[in-house]
Amino acid sequence: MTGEQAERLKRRFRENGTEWRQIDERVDLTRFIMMAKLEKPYAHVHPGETAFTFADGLIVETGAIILSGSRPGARRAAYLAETHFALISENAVFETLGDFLSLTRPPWHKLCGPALTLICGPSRTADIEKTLVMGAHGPRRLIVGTAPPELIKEMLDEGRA
Amino acid sequence: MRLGLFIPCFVEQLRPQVGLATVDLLDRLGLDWTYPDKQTCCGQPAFNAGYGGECVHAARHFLELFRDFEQVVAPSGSCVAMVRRYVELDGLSAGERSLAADLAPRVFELSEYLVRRLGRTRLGARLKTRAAFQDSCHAQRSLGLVEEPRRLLAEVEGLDLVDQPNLDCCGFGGVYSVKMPEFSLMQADDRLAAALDANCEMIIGTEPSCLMHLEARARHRDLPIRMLHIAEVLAGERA
Amino acid sequence: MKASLSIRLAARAAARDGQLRENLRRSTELSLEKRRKLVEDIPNYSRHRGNLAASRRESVRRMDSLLAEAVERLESAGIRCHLAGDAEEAQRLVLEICGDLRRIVKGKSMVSEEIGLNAALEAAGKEVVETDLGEYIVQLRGEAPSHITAPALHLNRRQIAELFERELGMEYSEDPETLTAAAREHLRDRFLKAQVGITGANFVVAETGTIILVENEGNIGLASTLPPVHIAVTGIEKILPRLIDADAALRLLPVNGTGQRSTAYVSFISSPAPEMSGPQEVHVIFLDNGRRRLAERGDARALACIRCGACLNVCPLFRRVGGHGYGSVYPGPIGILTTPFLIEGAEGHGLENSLADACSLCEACAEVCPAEIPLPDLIRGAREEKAAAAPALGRITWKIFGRLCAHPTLFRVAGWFARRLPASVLRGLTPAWSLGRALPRSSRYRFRTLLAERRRR
Repeated sequence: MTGEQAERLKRRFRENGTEWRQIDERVDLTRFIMMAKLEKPYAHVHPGETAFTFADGLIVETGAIILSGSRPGARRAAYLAETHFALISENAVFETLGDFLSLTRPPWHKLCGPALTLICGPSRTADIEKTLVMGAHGPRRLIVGTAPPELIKEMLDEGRA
Repeated sequence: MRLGLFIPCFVEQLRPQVGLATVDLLDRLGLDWTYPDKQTCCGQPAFNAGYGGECVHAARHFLELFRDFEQVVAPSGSCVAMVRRYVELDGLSAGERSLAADLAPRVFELSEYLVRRLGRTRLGARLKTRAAFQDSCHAQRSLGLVEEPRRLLAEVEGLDLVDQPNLDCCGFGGVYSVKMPEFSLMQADDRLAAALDANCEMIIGTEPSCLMHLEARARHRDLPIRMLHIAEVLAGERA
Repeated sequence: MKASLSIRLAARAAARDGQLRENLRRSTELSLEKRRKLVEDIPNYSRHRGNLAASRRESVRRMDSLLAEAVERLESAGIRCHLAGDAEEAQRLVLEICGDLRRIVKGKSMVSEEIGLNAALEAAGKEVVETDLGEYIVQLRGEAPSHITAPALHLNRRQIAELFERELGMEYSEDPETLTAAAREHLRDRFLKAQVGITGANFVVAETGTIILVENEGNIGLASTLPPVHIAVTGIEKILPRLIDADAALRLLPVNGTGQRSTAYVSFISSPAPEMSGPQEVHVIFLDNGRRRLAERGDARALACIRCGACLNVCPLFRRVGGHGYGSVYPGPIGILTTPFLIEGAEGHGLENSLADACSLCEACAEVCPAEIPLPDLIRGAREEKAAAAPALGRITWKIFGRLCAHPTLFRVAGWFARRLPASVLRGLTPAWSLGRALPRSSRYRFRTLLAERRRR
């Protein structure tokens, strides 16, 4: 992610109501995961709880996170939770949706899994007098953490050990 | 330069001052214009009502009458929009269709002609009043005329022009005014209210039919507001 | 009752209903304002619009072959496909798929309204709850939605507060946050216990066999993830040829539909997901219900519609009367064209009875339509259809008009007579004009007379 992209992403996230933590150090990554108060990702989320998922990328133009359905339980968690923490590699950045849809590797079916979701912020509705209310049926808060891929890999390797 | 003048049929009958003002303007600009006496109607009412087949008769007549002019000008966006669509009408011969295509780019609404063709905006007019500008649907959308009338009016001395963009159609719409009168009146009332709420004494526009419709409603409700066509403003009081 | 008369009566009622008019004005104005800002802000907006229009034209032109392609792709991934010729068949298919399963949650779907699905399900003893907040509200009120993307547009917070107090037994509150939270809580349980989730589909991609669903609330995600069975019902005209076509579609739908750059959620569904805690069964029902007939007898260009509702928001009539005035689930300019084919029994059914007159041809709709559907031209075309079946008096009048336009002398004579008709006669001939408008004062002299006079001087 370039500095310029980060600037634009920050603006989009703010518009969407998405909270963003840019993670550089291992200690910050640990803190991020602790905030999600989970011992391991993909726990079966019950409504009202916090969900932690990995996500597969970011689209700068809209500020969307990409959540592949190949991750078991992630899709369910992302809709049911009260607060959704999503951890993404800071290099998995697409400028536009078109760029993302034009990917040939991995092939679409592999990436998409049974269902792929683009999430642009907390759930919301404006069905009452066009007044924006956050947290309709899905999460009230979306908190995105971006970290260097090596850091994430390090954490995962340690987790497996 | 041979310039033909087309006067909309209800300007002819109901509001000739608009026609005379147009003529005054063309004279003042030193233009050599001709008013073909045999003109009738552009045929728009039939076309919009779903009787394109009848509009064809009006189209043929218009094409024949105006074919040899270098340019044609009319103080009405909706008439010009209609003429530019003659080429789409079913029932024209190949020759007529070709003539329609040839004539289309040579027919102009008045403010379009003044600004885009002649490059003139300052015409030395004066009108001390506060007025709202009425964007007609055809001028805006079919002819893309948004800036041109505003530029002309910006040069009118003493004119306090209130721009109210993004208002709904005035509600005339030809036979719509009698087929859907409830809507037509609500629309007219909303437009009049917008002007009155902005303390305007007048509404100035490029489309005689809009102005006629608003005037008819305003008079019925005894509202203190007058409608004026842009030609009447530009050919009116001198600065 | 004729559709034109019905909408006029609705207009009369609306003219007296200040609350409705204010609700409509505020909601549509807000959507348009947000749309305007985004259209200016998005680089190359018109190029994207051109792309969308092109892919939608292709969708319509190749409707049958794209349908075959989509079905093949979907089925190869384990999604069961069904073709429904009409509303009844679609209802039957849904009931077959449901089998004994009773508890159903629904995401917002125009097609399901079109086929009267809820009523059919309830008649068969199923429990159906709408989960989109706006749809939930109108369902509680026992009403139809009044707008394609904002079902409760015609209501204000006071009306919703009263409704929730009555139906949900909650303490009276007009605060939208409180009301939304109440709905969220009530519906949570239904989601978790649901056995079937029924949604529409915003698009289906033929190339990859993907169902695309767009939403803000998360209810569609829940309805398509939690219950063991997911059924998506959609029209056969909704199929995009390629995955990349979804780019333009997903850029323009939120901008024009809700004035957003993007909705909170966009789902791309490829297959069932029993191991991934998704549904065990996914079905798509492709509905015809008059679409093919529209393509043949009406104008196929109307089928390019992506159901954004922008044309409703700019239409001077819709803005004043709301969706209910049209007597169809598809109101506004697009509804004038589609209702005669898709909705049996609605006011506008049948071309001779369409609402083609409910339009001032202001062209505001064409200006905003993301799929570049030439709505005013199609509405004028619908008038041509009506004209062909019109009573003789109407046709003869226009015939005379046409002839007069070609004969200057006769035209002048007709004008001469018209100008001399007494006001009372004129008022009698056009009562609809005079009930609210003064007669335009005809000038003493015609323009050409005055011109000739001026030349003489």
